[in-house]
Amino acid sequence: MLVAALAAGCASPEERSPDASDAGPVTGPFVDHSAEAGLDFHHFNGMSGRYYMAEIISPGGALVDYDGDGDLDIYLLQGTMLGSAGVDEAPRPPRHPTPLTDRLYRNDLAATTGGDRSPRLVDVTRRAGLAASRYGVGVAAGDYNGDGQVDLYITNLGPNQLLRNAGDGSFDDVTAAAGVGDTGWSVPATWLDFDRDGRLDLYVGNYVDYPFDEPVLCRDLTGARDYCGPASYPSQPDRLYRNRGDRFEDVTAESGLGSAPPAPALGAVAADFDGDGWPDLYVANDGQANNLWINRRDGTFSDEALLAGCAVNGRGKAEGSMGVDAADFDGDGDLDLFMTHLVAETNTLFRNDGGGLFTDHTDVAGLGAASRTRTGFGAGWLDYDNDGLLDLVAVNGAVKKIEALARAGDPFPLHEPNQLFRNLGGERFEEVDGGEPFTLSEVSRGALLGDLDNDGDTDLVVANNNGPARLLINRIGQDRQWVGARLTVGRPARDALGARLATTAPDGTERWGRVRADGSYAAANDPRVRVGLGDGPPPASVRVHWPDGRRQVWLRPPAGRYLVAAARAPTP
Amino acid sequence: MAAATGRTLPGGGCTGAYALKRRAAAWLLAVAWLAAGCPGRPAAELEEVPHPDLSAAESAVREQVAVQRETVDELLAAEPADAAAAAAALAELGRVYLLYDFPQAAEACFTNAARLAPDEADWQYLLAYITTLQGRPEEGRALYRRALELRPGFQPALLRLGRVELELGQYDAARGRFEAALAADPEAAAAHEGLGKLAAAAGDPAAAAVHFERALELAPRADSLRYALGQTYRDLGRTEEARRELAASGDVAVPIVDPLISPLGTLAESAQFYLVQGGEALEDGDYERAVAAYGAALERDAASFVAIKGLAYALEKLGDLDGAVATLERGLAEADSGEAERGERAEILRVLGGLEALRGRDAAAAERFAASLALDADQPDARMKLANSLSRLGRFGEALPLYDRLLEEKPEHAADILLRRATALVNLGRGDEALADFRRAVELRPDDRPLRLRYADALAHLGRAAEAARQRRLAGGGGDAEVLLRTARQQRDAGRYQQALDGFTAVLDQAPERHDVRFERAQLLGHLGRYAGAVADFRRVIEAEPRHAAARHGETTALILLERYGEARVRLNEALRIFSLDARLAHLQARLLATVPEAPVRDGRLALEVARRLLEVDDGVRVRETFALALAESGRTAEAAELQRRLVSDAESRGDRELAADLRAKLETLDSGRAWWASGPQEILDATLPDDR
Repeated sequence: MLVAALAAGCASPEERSPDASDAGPVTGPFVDHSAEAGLDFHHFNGMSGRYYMAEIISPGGALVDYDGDGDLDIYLLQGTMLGSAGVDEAPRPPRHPTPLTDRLYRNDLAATTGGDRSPRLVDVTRRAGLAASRYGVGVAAGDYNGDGQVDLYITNLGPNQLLRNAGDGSFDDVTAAAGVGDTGWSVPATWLDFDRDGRLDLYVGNYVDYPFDEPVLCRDLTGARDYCGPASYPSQPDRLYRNRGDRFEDVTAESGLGSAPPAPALGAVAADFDGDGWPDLYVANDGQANNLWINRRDGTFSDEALLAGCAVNGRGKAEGSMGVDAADFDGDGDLDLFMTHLVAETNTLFRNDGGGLFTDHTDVAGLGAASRTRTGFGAGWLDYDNDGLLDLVAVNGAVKKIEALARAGDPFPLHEPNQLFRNLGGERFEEVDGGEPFTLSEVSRGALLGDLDNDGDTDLVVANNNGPARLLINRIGQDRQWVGARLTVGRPARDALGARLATTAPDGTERWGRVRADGSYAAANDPRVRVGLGDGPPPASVRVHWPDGRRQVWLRPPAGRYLVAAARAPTP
Repeated sequence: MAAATGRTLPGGGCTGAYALKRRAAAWLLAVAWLAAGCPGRPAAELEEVPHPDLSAAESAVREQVAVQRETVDELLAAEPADAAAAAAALAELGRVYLLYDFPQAAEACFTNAARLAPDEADWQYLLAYITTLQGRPEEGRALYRRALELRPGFQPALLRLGRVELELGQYDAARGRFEAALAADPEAAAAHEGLGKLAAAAGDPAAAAVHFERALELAPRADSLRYALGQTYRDLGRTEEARRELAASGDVAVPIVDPLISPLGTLAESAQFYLVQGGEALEDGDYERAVAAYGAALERDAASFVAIKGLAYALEKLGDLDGAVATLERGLAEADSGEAERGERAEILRVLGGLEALRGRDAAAAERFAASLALDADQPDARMKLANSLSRLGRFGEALPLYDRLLEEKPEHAADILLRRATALVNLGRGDEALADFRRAVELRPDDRPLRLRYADALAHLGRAAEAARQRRLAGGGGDAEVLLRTARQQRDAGRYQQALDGFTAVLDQAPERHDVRFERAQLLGHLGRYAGAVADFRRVIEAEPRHAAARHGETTALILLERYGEARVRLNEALRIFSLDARLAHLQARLLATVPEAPVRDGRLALEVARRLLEVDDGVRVRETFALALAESGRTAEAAELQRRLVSDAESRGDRELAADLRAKLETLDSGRAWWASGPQEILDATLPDDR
């Protein structure tokens, strides 16, 4: 029994990690910088041996510059006991001090002896007045009230929370006043200005209706207990809240989002998939067809995923979609989709053929076989080596017992290594050595993407279930040229979510980046845009496409630092 | 566990005695089985087969695995060694592991089988399958190729290899496999599917569509093909067809039939396996398969609540309400004798109540619902159904407090509950309270026209004509489909059939997707003797809802009345493939086959078979007469006459002279040694009307 194994005090995930003293020379692009930076977060999933499905779904997290000092801070989600038991009854006590709450780490970038900068994290949870002690799942970050401070929307197992950034280093819980306290089991959420009135609206993806008092008992094919899947429970409907300035209005029904049968949402990305200048919404559902909500520019959406070719995989099968991310990996100017799936399925790459019509490109890209034995959650596009081609990261962890681990007496037999895939030239990918952190076997869920040391490449924070959060610093990307930008809109400035930036090389080659915070799994990411330039010459120009359709061009932009550009706010 | 994998025994010895007598070591050590008369061949090196953790598995599974492992042990330890037998036993063990989702153990077994019998294509094939499944398609490809070398033309290997090569982007090679498969079997749907995918990848959607369409013809249940076809139509710009196919698509893959993987399910010993199968069958809407799977689960675990529920549900879907009720009653007995949760008993009773209500037995339904609520009061759905059953029974006084409580429990359904409570209040003569409820319901759903019309009816019923008229006006103009429909129904009920027909037609002009209205029009057309029109309408209803039993019955009745007997026979056959347990349709079929005036349509033997099955569920006079007439049509007129004579006698003894006369008229024909045939449609149909004698 799982409980017995837990009580016996079997090996923890950290104990499975390779001993640093055994490590050979550092290889691969990423190194685990958690200890040096002071990241001491350890997730508690409330595992009790009752196989509550909720204990294996969290957590995500956020990379946000909450204090406006120009570097990314880290918000991490905590769990608690599930069901009626208290934390003191946990077979395996939490590693983190109680009371268990979400944690905010302020990044005080420190100069190293070599002149570089290195994240130094300070736990400012109490100082920030954060009281998020529910069972945390995910985060969406955005400045919903236009005061220039990024706010946080926390999805929970239970009522969600809107935390308004007060601008003085603290947050206020304004959920009730804002009217966005969805009480279901929410996982993804994303801010988008779907009506282009200059105010960020909010999409919340809900998973299933999970009754703790009478959970379904699920078994594997031999009859042994195992975790349930989403099909064991009714799905909960997603929500769309329109920002009315002083509060939010639930417009799920009138927007058309309520017209689809509820499906268990785990991932969401808001972006303009059909190139009409209006933000659409892609929702990744667990075991059911995904949705592509195309913005009809009149306040309503229609789900075009089936016809668009991105509802199910190329074999016509709905997959257990978890994380999802959108980016232009093939440099043709439109947004492609990558999403993670269950073991025995593949992670899936949908290539946008223009105008929002997709083709399953997984096999052509060589991404199928490598993912078939893993269950992926966090997923992201990143150009880890700044060669100008977007690569992929998938962080993994099973949702059903892995037999080989269970046989070996592992107390939490769901852990798997994470994966990094290198773009080989815009068509195919290959799995590459991501460095020592990618040899660890953990139950990873969130992958938060951002430049934590402001050196122009993409670092990672991996949020593990029932394990430590890991800060993975990219130690190679900064060796190549790059162009970065923070694109904002309005005064005070907020990130211009949806704005796009194109670099044009002297030979005419274009590379695209996009301002976004959503994507991956239950995560909020660095909204700044970075475009790797590889070993080629600096770009001849950089062009910005603002969300309202206006364009702006810089000739011979400076490389190697973040540019800042601001656009006027649209009139509500 | 010892880590002796990879060790190799000397292969030259012919005694084979080294270590192999020790069963425990048999897994760990290489096998010198070839010792018996095969010196010079290399030794086979066996991998250690992991022991999956089965501590929490059903005992049947543990036993199954233990027995199979023991068989393998014995064969590996036997002298003289029989490599082929040992390999087969290992492969079988591997298949068991594969079935229960232990791929690593399965792979070790298949690896060992292939090493023991390297020239056996089956083991290479299984190893290729598991290797590919484990995310190593390149290795899988090589192994499939090896299987094909050993057994050229091995169709499943050819098709699976084609799929692997397609996945690997080796399009030319894949094309060769699929074309070879098609040459060997022109009806290989998987080959057409593969060629379709290749054409799509090559940017030739027109060619892809041809292959996908053909594959779908050959494997109509493989609704994943509809997705591929839909995408292809999309690329061809045939958007509407694309939408239609995509809407009908599912995830049933094109099967590759082989003797190794396809029948894997037959190895299952766990109840859980069949529960999963049952669940998948329900998801696919394949209720016959669900019945079989849940039945198998119950054979292994008679108290399985999930199996009881699933079986009852599937039977209900198949129209076998009696079977569903019997299943639930058995489940209830199991629950009462075992340690089932109160909640499980409550749920069984609730579902039983629903079935009784469906059968029109509201008194029994109410009893079940009440018993369910006594076990678990926190079931608003059961309370709602109880209240509705009581209302239908006219026990409005008992229903009323239930609706009161439901208003507190289900405020989100307040409008519906108020509507029902208002109806109860009207029947209790509490008109003012009823109107107050109607008013509140209308306030909650101001745009609900049918609700407002119900309110208007109530107002009119209570003599508030002016307000009733105002509500009708608010409900919408005369062109509104709901108003038209309501009027049409009223006219039909009042016997103004032509006006009613015009009304239904007007509704359908506005809302052609209203198959319920089309069904009503079809019935009315039939009533008016316009059978051809009725057939057309019934057919459109059936196209939209193939499981619409009443439409099926209506269509065949109209066809018989049009004397299109052959067509009626065909359509009856189709209907009975879906509703194998529908007694009314079966009786019509038996009667038609036995007595239809057109000789080519008659089939005495089939009529007899159908009638015999029918008698098991319905032994009414007319069914027994149909049996007698089928006997006569089969040439057994003496037996037929004897049976008919008994029916005449029974009718006479009951004093039913009219029936006795009718039966006797046919008896005269049978006594003359001839079969009796109907003179026209009505004689066929009259006999199949519900028999309450």
